[in-house]
Amino acid sequence: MLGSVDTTLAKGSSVSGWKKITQMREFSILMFLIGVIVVMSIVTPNFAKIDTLVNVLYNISTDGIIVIGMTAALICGGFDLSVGAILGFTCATTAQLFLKFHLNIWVAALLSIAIAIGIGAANGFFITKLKLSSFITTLAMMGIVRGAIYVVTKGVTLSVKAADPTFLAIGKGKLFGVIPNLGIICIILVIVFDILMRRSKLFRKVYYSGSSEKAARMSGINTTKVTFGVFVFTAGLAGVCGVLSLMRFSMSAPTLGTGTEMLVISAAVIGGCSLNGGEGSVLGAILGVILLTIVSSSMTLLHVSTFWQQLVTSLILLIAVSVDSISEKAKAKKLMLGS
Amino acid sequence: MTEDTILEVRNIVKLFPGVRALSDFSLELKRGEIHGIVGENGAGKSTLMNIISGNMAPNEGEILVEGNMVSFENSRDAQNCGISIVHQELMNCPHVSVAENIFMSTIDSSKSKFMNYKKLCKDAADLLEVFDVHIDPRQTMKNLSVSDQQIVEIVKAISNDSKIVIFDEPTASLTEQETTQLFRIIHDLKKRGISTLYISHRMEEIFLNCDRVTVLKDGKFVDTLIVAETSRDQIISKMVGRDLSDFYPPKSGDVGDAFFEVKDFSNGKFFHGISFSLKKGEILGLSGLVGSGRTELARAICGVDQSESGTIYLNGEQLVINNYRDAIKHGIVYLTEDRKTEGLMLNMSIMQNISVLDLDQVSNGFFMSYDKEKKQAQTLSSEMNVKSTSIAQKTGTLSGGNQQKVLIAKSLSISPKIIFMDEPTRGVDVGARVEIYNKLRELADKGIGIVMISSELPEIIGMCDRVLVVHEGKINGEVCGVDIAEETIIHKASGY
Repeated sequence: MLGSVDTTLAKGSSVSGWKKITQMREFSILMFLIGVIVVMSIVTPNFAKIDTLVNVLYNISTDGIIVIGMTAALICGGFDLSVGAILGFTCATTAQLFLKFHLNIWVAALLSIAIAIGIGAANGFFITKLKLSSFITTLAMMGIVRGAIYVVTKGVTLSVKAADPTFLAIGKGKLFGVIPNLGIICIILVIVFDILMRRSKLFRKVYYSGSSEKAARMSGINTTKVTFGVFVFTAGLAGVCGVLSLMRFSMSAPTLGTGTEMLVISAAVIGGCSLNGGEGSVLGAILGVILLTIVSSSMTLLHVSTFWQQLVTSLILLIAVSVDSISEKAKAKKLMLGS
Repeated sequence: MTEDTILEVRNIVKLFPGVRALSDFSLELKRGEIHGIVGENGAGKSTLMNIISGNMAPNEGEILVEGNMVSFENSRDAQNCGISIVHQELMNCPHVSVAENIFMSTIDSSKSKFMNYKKLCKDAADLLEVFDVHIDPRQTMKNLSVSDQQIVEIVKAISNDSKIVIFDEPTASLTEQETTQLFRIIHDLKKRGISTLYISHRMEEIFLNCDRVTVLKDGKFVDTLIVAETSRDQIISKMVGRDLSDFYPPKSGDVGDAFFEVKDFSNGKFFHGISFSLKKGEILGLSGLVGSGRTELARAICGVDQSESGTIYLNGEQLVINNYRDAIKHGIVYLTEDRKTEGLMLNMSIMQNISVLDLDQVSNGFFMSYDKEKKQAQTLSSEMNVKSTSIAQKTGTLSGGNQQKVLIAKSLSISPKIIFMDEPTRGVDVGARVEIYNKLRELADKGIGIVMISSELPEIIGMCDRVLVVHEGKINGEVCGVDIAEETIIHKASGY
C-alpha cells in the first residue's frame, strides 16, 4: 500500500517515475473512477453533463473536508467515530445560539466551532491521558454528542432563514454561477492539506506516531501531543462542516451527519489509509469519497433502488481492501524471490 | 541406525521461493539425549524445527521415528508420533486457565460435549507436580510469570506422552534464576528418557546442558560434536566458517581525558548511587546479569525513563535532561535493545527512519525537503553499508543486521557525542556484526563516547577498553586492560 509519504519518494527511486506513479494507490482508484465515469457516460446520456459535476461537488463538500481529518486520525493509528455527530451538533448549536440567544450568526458559528474543538480535545484527553482506545472513546462521544443535539434542539428542525444573507449565500452561492462555493472550499482545503501531509514536518510526526508509537517516542517525538492534536483537528474540521451545512441548507435537522463517520472511514481506507496507522494520503481519501459519491449518484440515475446503494458502496470497500491485501502478499513474495 | 536412536532425519531439502533453506540435511537423535542445534541467524535452525514438528513439509528427505518412516501433514501428526515443540515466543491463550492451556489439543477428543473442569484441573495438577513446580492449574494463564508460562508450555508439550521435545531459544525472555529452573526441568526430562533438541545461540547454555551439538551453516550440516570433547571456539569457528581472531577490531591505544560524567544516579528501584565517567576514545562496557539494572540505568541517563536523582556533566558542563528529547538535543542517544518495537518504524522507509531524530536538518522551514532527506539517507546508509534495494525500502523488510545498521545511521544523523548501545548485535548475523564492531571502534577513535551494554560476554571482552560490572543496581567493580576476562567479570557480576 502506498501512502502519501511514499509518493514523495517516487522521484528518488531507481524505478522510472511513470512506473512508480502507476504503482501508487491513488492511481488505481483514479483509473477505477475514470472507468465508472466512462461507463456511466455511455450508459446514461444524462451523466456527462455539467449538472452531474455540480451535484458531485455539492455532495462531496462536507464529506471531503471531514475525510481530511479522518485521514490524519487513521495515519495516527486511530479513528474518530464522532465526526458525524459533531457535524450535526455544530450545525444545531449555531442555529440555536442564533435563534434563542439572538447572537450574530457569525459569532454563533465561531462559538460552535470552538465547542467542536473542545469535544475533540475531550476525545484527545481520554485517548492520550487515560489511554482508552480511540474506538471506544469516539463511539461513546458519538452517542453523547448525538444525544446533546436532541437536548439542544428538543428534536426539532431549526430554520435560520432570517440570518445574515451573506452567511447563507456562501452555502448556496456558485462561482461564475456554475461551481458551488462549498465545492471550492473543499477542493482548496484538500489541496492544502494534501501538500501539508506530504511535505510538512508537523504532519510527518503524525505518520511516525501512527507507524510505531514506541519507536516515535524513542526518537524524541511527543506522541501524546501529536495524537491529541490530531483528534482536535478532526473534530475542528467536522465543526467547520457543521457550519457549512447550515449555510447550505439554512436549517439544522437533528439527524444531520448520521452515518458520515462510516462513509468517510470507508472512503479513506479505499483511498489507501491503513487501520494500523502510518499510511494514507488526503488525495487517496478524497478520491475514495468521489468514487463512493459517483457510484451512488450513478445508481440513482440508473434508477437502482436506494436500498441497493449502501450494499454496493460497502461491497466496494470490501473489494478494495481484499485487492490490496492480495497485492501486498504478491509484493512480499516478489521481494522474497528477489533476495 | 543403532538401537537407541529415536529420531533420524535424512537428506532433508526445503526450498522457499528463491532460497534453499535446507539442503541435504541429516541428523540423528538418541534416546534421552539433549542435543544442541547451533548456527547463525538464517542458518536454517527454525526451518529444521518446523519440519520436525510438522509445521512445514520438506521438499525432499525422510523422517524416521523409532525406525519407522513418518510423514507429517501438520503438527498434530507430529504430536501423535511423540514430537512436541516449545516455541521461542509463548504460544498460549492468556485468558483461560492453566489446565485448559495444557489440554487444549485433547479437549476436542473427549467424549462428553461438556467441559469437565474438575478432571481437567486434577490431571493438570498431577502433571505439574512431576516437575515440582507450584502452579495452580485454575489460575488464568496471563497472571503467571513468563517462566511459569513457559513451564506450562513444557508440561503441555509432554502431556501427550512425548518422546521428543524441541526447545527453540527457550531462555530468550527468562531471568538467570528462571533459566536455572528451566535447565533443571530439561535434565528432569532426560532422566525420564525423553530426548531434547535444544536450539540456542548462547554457547554457555550448550555447554551446560547438551550431550552433543550439531552445527548448521547456510542450511547445510557442518558437524555433530560431542560437547565434552569440544571447545567454544571450535563450535563458533564451525558456525562462522572462519577463525575468531579477526572478529574484533584492535582496542584503542590512547585513551584521552574523561569528558562525560554521570554522578549519583538512582531511581529507587533498579539502581542506586551510580557514578562513572567516560573518556575520549574509549568504549565503556556495562556488564552484569540480565535484570541487574544495566538497561534501566542507560535509559534513565538518556531521559527515556524517569530517575529520582543524578546529574550529568558533558565537557564539565552540567546538563539538564528531563526527557529523551533533551538528551538528543545534547547529542546523547540511546540505541534500544528492542529494535523492532522501539527502534524502527518498520513500515516506513530507511530514509524516513534515519531522518526522524531531527527533522529540522532535512527541511526548509515548515516543509520537509525531499532532496536534503534523500542526501542525508544516502550518505549515512552508505557510511553504515546498509544493504538494500534503495533508501525507499521499508525497514521491516531488512535483515536484522541491516536494521541495526539503519538504527546506528539514525543516531549518527545528529552527530552524537555519546552513544549508549544496548545489545548492539542481538539478532545480527556474523558478517554484519563484524561491520558494526569496526564501526563502533571507528566512532570511538573519532572521539564519540560509546557505552556498550551486552549480555554476551565475549562481545564485552572483545570490544571494551574498560568494563563496569553492575550487580543488583550497583557498580560492583571496574575492570580494564588485560583484566577484562570472563572469570573476573562473572565473579563481580555475581556480587563478589
